[in-house]
Amino acid sequence: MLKPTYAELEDQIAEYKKNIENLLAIAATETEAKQDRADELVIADKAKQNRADELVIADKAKQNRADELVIADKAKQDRADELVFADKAKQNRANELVIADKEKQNRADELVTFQSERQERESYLISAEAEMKVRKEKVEGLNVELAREIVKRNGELIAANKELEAFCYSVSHDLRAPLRHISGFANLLVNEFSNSIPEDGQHYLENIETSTSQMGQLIDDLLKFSRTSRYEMQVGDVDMNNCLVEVLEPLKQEYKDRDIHWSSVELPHVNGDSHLLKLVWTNLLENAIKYTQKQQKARIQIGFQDKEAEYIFYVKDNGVGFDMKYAHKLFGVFQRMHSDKEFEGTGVGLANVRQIIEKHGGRIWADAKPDKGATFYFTFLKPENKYD
Amino acid sequence: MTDLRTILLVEDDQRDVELTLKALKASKLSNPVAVVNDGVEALEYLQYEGKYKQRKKEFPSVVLLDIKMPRMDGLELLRIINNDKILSTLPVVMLTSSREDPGLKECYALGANAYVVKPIDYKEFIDSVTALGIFWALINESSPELKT
Repeated sequence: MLKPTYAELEDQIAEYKKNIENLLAIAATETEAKQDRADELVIADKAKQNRADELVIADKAKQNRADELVIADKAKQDRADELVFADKAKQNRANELVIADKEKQNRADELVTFQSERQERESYLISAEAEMKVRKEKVEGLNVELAREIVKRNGELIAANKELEAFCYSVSHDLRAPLRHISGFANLLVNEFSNSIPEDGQHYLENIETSTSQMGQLIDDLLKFSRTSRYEMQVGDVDMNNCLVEVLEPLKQEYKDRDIHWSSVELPHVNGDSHLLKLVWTNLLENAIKYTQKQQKARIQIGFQDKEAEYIFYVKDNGVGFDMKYAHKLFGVFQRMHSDKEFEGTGVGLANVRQIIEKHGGRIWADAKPDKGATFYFTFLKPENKYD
Repeated sequence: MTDLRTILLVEDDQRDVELTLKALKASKLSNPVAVVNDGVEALEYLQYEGKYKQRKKEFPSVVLLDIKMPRMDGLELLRIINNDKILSTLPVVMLTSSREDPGLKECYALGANAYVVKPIDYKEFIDSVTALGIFWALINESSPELKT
């Protein structure tokens, strides 16, 4: 072995130095890298830590999720159960639907029937409506016609009334005149030639006179009757008591030599024509007097019955009465129940009474038995029920 | 007794005239009776015209006046009498056949003094005529204007 020279040593030292320096540089670099690496490791650690934290959070989330899944599973189970129920319900519903379908079908059938019925009904209604329209038009037409007819009839009625008045005047005047003449000359014949007329002849002349005066009475009564029908009523409050007294007192005077037992009650007020009402009482009372003339003791009773809407007045006697089978003739003009020989009269009185009562909207009837007396009834609406 | 003044009968029906005259006679009234047959003739009588130009100047004590007559009826005559100053004081008794005469009210409105419906029974008729005659021809005092 050769011994290194100094230069060589120096070179070697320099080389060593250089190496050390390199090594130092490398170490420095390595340190630096190491530091970097350390830093990076710190960062990585931190990241790792963060990641760990995140993992913890994720784990927690996972746990939560797992819990949720458990819940969801339960929910799923519940849902499954529900679905089972629902299925059952669905089944039931399906069954129901089948039934409903059947019902629907039935209903549909019914609807078809109903609709055809409806169709029928509608077409019927349409034709009914058309007919109604036709009828309505007809009715309207008739109404117009009726109104025209009423006006026409009214005019005719007024004319007829005037004609009737003229007729009555004519009857009164023209029929009475020749009767007066017959009566007059028959009377003169009897007065001036009684000596030269045989007994039979005088009897005939008497008959002529009786007949003429009878016919005169008939004409007068007929005119009275027609006067009542043409009479314009003055309707007002009438105290039947006053009405009756005014009629009854003169009659009592006139027949004071007859034994008549009168009885009457307090009568109500009515709505009517006092003049005509007096005629009614006069007629009924005179009849009662007339037809009780054969009784030793005549009884005449005046009263009334209070009914719901009307009063029924009556005059009851114990006279000869009559057979009810002829009652329908009682109120007709010139109708009589007894002969003129038995009881005087023309048969107009009761017809007149009936006319007056009917003019007031009332009714009249009688109840009787032969030899057991008669009762005459007439009605009057109570004043509060009068509509005019 | 003062002189008996005439009764004027205005009547178209001759049988009525005859019966009325008989009745007046039966009443024992001795007043003269003048008969005319309708309103026209009655006016001539009252106004001294036509065939009555020459008659004695004297107004009747009463006029018995029928209503229904030809030419001029009782109502028309009554209206004329009523409108005449002097004649309107003349007593006029309507003598008619019927109560149904449409002029009953009008007769009074036109100044008639009475209205009598002739009864059918002749005896009643005599009584009526007697009563009328006695009252109007004897008892009643006429208006002074008629006494000239």
